[in-house]
Amino acid sequence: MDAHAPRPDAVADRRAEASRILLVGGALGVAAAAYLLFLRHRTDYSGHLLAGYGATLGALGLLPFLCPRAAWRRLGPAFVTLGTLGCVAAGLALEASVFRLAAFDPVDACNQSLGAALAGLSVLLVATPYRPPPATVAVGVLLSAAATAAGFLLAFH
Amino acid sequence: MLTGLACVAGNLHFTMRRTLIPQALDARLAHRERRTEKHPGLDDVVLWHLEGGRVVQVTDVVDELVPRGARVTKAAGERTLRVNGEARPLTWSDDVIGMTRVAGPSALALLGLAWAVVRRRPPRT
Repeated sequence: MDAHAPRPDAVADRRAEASRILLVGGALGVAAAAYLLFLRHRTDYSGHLLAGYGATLGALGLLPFLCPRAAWRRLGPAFVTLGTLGCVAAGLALEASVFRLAAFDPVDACNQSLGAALAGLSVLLVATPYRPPPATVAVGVLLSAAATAAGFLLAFH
Repeated sequence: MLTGLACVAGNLHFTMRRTLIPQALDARLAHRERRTEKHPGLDDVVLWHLEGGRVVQVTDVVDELVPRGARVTKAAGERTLRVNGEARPLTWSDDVIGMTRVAGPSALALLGLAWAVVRRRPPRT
């Protein structure tokens, strides 16, 4: 066996991780496509969904690096769950203040919170008890940035 | 996942209320207020200030049915609004129709991810 070849279980792990990331992309794609198709008269609804997803994904992606390693190994899912709820709360606070242009819109709040929930589940699916490898981090950063940017463009354009 | 499903239900609830169909009314329209949002003319917030202090948000289509000072009455769930006694039909808005259509895919995305998360967990020994 080639000494430089990756171990079979490492290859299987990477394949499983890639399939989970694809599932995450697929789930976001299904929700976003439905919004863009059936609510195309209100692009701000799609915008809030994507912005909620992207911002939450970005915030949750910091958790493995902010938490002590031992704590992350034991309590990672709990941190992600609490972090998601924290992002939902932050979104509600922003909707009630900075983004309160006419009135607090509960539909906008629901859309961005739905995005946050999807992001929380995405991280729960992909995260491991260990800090993510650079490739996973790169995918997460790109997805977070793209979703957040698309969200703001759709909401404010 | 539960938060997400609650949001899907919330979207339907709040958009439906703005059509007035689920609501009961029996008051005079004191005055109406239109507040602009990010896209003036497209996502304006239209508020009816009713005698008695109640404020309801309505869609543009509903707003056009009622002149200022008119008495509006309906029972909860009724799809007819009586404006000074005259019947006006109420319909589901584009927002309601759209939210109904996205509810399925949104719930599917949530449930699909949740199922994958549960499946991934190692079995308890």
